[in-house]
Amino acid sequence: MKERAEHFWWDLARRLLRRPVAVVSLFFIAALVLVAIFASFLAPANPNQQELLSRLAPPGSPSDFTRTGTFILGSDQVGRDILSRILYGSRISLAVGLVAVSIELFLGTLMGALAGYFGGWVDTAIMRLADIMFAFPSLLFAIAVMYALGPSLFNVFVALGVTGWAGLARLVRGEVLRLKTQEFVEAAKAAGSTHGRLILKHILPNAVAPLIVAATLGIPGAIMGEAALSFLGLGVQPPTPSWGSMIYEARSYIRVAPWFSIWPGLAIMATVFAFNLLGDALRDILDPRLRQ
Amino acid sequence: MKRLPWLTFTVLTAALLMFTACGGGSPSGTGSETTTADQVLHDWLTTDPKTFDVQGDTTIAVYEMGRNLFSTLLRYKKGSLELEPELLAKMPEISPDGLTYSFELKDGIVASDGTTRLTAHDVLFTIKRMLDPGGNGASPWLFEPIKGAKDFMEGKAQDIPGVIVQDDTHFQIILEAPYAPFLQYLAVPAASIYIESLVTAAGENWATQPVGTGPFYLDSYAPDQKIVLKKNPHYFEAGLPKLDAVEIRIIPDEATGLLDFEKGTFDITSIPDTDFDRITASGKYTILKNDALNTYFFLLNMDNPQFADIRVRQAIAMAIDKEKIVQTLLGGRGSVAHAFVTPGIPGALPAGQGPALPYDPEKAKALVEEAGASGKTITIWQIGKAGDSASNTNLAIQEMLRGIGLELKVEIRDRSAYFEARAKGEIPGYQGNWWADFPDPDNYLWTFFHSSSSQRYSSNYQNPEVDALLEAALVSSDPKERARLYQQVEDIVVGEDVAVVPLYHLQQFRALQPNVKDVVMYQTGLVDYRWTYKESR
Amino acid sequence: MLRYAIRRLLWAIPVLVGVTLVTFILLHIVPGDPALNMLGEHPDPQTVEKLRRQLGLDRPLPQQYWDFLSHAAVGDLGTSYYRKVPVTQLIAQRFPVTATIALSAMAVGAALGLSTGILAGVRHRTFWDTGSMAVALAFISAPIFWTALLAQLLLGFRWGILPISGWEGPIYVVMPALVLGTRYAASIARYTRSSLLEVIRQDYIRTARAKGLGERVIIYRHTLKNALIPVVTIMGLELGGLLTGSILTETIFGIPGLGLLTLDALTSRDMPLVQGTVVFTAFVFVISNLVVDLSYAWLNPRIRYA
Repeated sequence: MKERAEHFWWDLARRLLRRPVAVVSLFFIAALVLVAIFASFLAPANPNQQELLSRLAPPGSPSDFTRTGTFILGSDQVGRDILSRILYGSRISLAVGLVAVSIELFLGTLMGALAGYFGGWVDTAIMRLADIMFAFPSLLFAIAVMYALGPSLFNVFVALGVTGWAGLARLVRGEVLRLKTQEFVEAAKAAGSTHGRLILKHILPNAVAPLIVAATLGIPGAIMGEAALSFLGLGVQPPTPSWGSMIYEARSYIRVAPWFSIWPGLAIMATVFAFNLLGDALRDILDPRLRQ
Repeated sequence: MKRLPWLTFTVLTAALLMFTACGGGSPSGTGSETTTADQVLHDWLTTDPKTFDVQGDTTIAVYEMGRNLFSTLLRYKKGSLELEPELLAKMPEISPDGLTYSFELKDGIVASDGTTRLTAHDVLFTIKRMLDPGGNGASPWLFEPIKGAKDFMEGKAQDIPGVIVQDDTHFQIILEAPYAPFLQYLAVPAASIYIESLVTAAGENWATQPVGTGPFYLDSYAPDQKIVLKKNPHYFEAGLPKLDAVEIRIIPDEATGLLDFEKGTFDITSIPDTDFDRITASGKYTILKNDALNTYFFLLNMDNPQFADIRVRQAIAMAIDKEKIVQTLLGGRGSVAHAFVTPGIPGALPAGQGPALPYDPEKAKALVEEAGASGKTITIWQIGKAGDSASNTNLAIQEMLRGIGLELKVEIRDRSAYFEARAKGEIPGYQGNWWADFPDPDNYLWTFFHSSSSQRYSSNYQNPEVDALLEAALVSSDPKERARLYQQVEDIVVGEDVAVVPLYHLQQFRALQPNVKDVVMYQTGLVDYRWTYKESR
Repeated sequence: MLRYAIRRLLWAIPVLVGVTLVTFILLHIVPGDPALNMLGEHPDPQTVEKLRRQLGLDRPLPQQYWDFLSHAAVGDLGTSYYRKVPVTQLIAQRFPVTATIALSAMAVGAALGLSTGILAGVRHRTFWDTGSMAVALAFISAPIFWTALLAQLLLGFRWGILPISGWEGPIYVVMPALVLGTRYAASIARYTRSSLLEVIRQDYIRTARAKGLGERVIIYRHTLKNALIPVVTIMGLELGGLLTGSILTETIFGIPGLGLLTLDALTSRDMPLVQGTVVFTAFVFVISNLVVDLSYAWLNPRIRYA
């Protein structure tokens, strides 16, 4: 069984690397991760340092406090360095994408696996809950959660994470139902495996393909979700730099300082674009219906 | 077999049909085109007032509607802070003991329906409706000083002995105790006089189908979309209003509304902070400006341990470079506040004077170190909005406090959560603003610092000396004496105790298309259209 | 199929009740008192009590919920705290607005998306394919308030072709429909393309090819109908989620629709209005899901319902 899993990952990597689009997007995402990790070395200034006298300075304007002596991408409404804020903002956007999707994955897998594996009333209860969550307008749910908990990065994770699990739960449940009757599972059961072991060791590893696709495609959704919450004034707390909150703050200055909107907007677009491309590539590879 | 073009064609046709047939969702259809004739003013608001019942709501949008639809007993003279009669025939007579006010209404005032007459009985009805313990009156404080009002509000009495109707045009109001700002109260839009028979006839629908004696009447109201006011032909002031109609569109997004103003869709707009320089510098518009009666301040909750040490409070006051904030973030559109009450209000300190501590970051830093508070976190709350001058000011203060060794944490809450916590005295500190309901220091100082009220604003200031001074000022009828008492309060609250840091007073602006004339903007923030007219372009 | 539809509709009832319960719990976890919100700057305690009593907020929570539920069962969703108008009336006014925009956007999306998707699928691995898919992905990746702003500045202000904001007549639908529609178009194009590719590879198409039918005939007659299935799914999902989508667009364009109403109700803690709009939206979602499922059967007769 272990061999099978390893083979799966190798195979996946090999197939991915054969696709130029996937390679490019992987490369971009890797670069982004590096930027996020080394933001403090790369950024020309402290992202929160202000110079009120040089607020809304266009790109290339001189600056008192950046290492380069200029605001390379301009300054924002309180005179902070936009480039530094974008570099630091990558941390937030990546974190939101990864954590929110992890929460979704965790809840979705747990619920879906329980429902599919045990069936009966467990299945009914969980899937009805999923129906309710599914029918509930998701942005509204996230807004209400943010109202309840107050804006903070952690709460953004929670608000975005707890809204999306229902779809994943359905997906996992379907996979589990399909796998549970297969021979190797029956064999393991006959050999005396416990429920937990059966689910964790035998069923889930074989249901991983659609989950990878869903997760990869979920990340851009979460990043956009953070931007949407920020647009409604419910994102991370100031002065934490996040792309979503930057776009939101910049929006009202679009006519006087367009650069302020453009950079964080491009950052979001490029990141979402890359994750979508990667997700597409993964789906092409992993979706059995598309496999030739 | 050419299916593809056929399919595209059908879908496109469907789309086009949808575009042209969708008018069903919009009640007004092509209405705006037919009414663009002269003398229709096009205005916009970011929030729908939702109700036109000025008794049931306290927001400025509702108050502004109230000024258009109803009339008050007294009002401010065109653009000033001086009272003059509106529904009254002349200014009321006040007995020497300051308790009994005698009023006379103008004769023959009718509502916009042209038939219903307004009488002194309606004044009594209005007061009772506001105070009714089972009603929706949101501003009972306006009539609370009247004799017997408290008992009536608590349901202990069926009548208010302090209001005596003598005949159709004459009535008297007797106060519980002398109350200096009472006449000012009568000019607040929430004190608009309703006509009993019209309120009764409208029943449940009064909030959205009001009929009053104001210069305009409500012609149509499409919630979150458009409010159309038409000229009241029976208005009691000859020749007014000059406009035939006012159309007010609701556009939640400021940037969008401004863009539409620049395109020429609207005749008037407030100017978002962000675009102020651009709009004023363009030279395309008439700019209205006045020194509005407001104070923006940084309030320190006296019950919160983070502000327990006076040295920390002093340090905060001295660390904020107000001048820099006014010059940069506000683009010079305001003035530094040295006291809590806005200059210009009778009894307030003159502009540029006041007990607020001067900017001195060195000393502030020393004070923080002395108090052993270096590196400590100070938490404040902010209503959930970013990019406006309030949140930018918070960002600036955050940096300034960091300079003296304090971390300012700004927690964002939505409006409802914020107001609930504030009313319970639980907000640890906040940057707030106060726009005068009426031009009297009492409206500022009692509200925030009298022990009976300070908790509701999360100030939690308790000081028997200040209470006594405020109470004395309230009953005094000598303006000089009152001014002296209020200045003493300012010295204690702002100078000695540093319970609040006054930041700045913001000026108020409107941009008008150049052909729009005579829009009157009051210092209380209200805009009046009764004299407005449009010249052909 | 009728029995299936009825069963699904009956099934919706517990789901909707669940939605109201979730809403109710959420509304009461969230801090913020409607009465205090109404009083704004003048929270005098006596008046607060008076208003709370008037709004029925002094009742115990289970009773509040039960009262809501028992009234809702007979179609009475209560009266808005602020607007003093029955919630059902407000929804009846606002839903057509939101639906008009959603349907027009969907029409734009279907027209643009289907044609682009088919083009890309048919010209698989050509410039047209990659180019159009890149553009589609760019549209999906751009934050909606960005595209909206761009449309307002260019179409509305600079060129003056369309009104910038408001809801004053048919022409006011166009800009929001375009902004939303291009987004739908992008996802529809992507799905159309991939399902087209998938179907092309399937056996019965190969058979058709082997029979010597022309390429066009094969694509139009055999693949399109099947390829429409995921497109219908997307349409159903997007229509079902129209409220979520409409919150942002209605705010930006100043459109008096359901999204704006709901957001406003939530911010001002107008409890009956939040309850009403949320449960109504959930209802629309359930219905549109049902319609989607039923249309599968029409599109692909091999799908049968038990």
